[in-house]
Amino acid sequence: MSQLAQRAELVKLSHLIGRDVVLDLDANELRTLRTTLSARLFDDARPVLQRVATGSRLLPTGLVAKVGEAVFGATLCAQIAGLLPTNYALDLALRMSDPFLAKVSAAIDPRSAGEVVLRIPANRIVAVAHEMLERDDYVTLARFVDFITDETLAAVIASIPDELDLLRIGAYVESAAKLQELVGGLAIERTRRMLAAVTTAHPDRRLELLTISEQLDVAARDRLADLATEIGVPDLANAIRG
Amino acid sequence: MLVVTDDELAAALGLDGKPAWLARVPADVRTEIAALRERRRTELRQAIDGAMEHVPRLLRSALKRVLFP
Repeated sequence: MSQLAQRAELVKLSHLIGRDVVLDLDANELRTLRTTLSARLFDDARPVLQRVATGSRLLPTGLVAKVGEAVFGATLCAQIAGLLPTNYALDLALRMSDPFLAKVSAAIDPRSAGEVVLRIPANRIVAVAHEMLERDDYVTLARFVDFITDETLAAVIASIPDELDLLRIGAYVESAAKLQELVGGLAIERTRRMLAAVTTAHPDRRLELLTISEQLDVAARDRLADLATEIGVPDLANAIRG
Repeated sequence: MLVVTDDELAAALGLDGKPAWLARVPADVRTEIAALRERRRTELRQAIDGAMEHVPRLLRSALKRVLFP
């Protein structure tokens, strides 16, 4: 993986640690460090969290949701969510506010809460996604791409008017296959607007575009490059082709 | 700054061995990782204490039996 992938991994690790960190590790090593640390933090707390999850069933759901939001906070709620039965976790999630769910999403391992996320109505997912956008939390938005239905994903994409926001999310999507699908599925006009916007935006946007394009297959990369040529930015087209 | 050795870092991460990249994790990040684990434990204890104050008195003893068997 390239320096661009390394940059994306550093952002994700900083996200987990809670402050910006600089390490001279390649992307694979950073990814190993991040996933190992994340699993370790969860394993540390698992026995107590399991008892909290069990104890919460003694209390009315409304009270648990209220205490979860007011006292436990997003990180702990995120860790407990994966230990609760799906129906109960869903009931709790639907009683919590959109801003709080956005914070929980930032701390949750989507693999442990995948079933719950899949069953949250699309309109709530869209609302929570916009809370994440307000917080410039592109990393979390990208992590959930693999865990929501295609219809919900389409609704989220349609609700985001700024193509540069889509670009910033795409740069952090973990699955190359999903990224390929997303880029291929974006309307040509929106893709053109995104490429045009990159030419006048902060230089980081160009790096993010190249992070995405290097994960695409040759045909998809060529399509993107052809569109860059069409809108009159041949240097960008050349960079995309690599 | 707390000095975290390669062995301690490997243990903190729950690694079986010591991969080569471990030696390149800088001191400030090692300290941050050790502090993060401790901070999470403290947050959990404080959250349970805080949550208990919201639980109706009648349910508190039953809940305590589950949380602190």
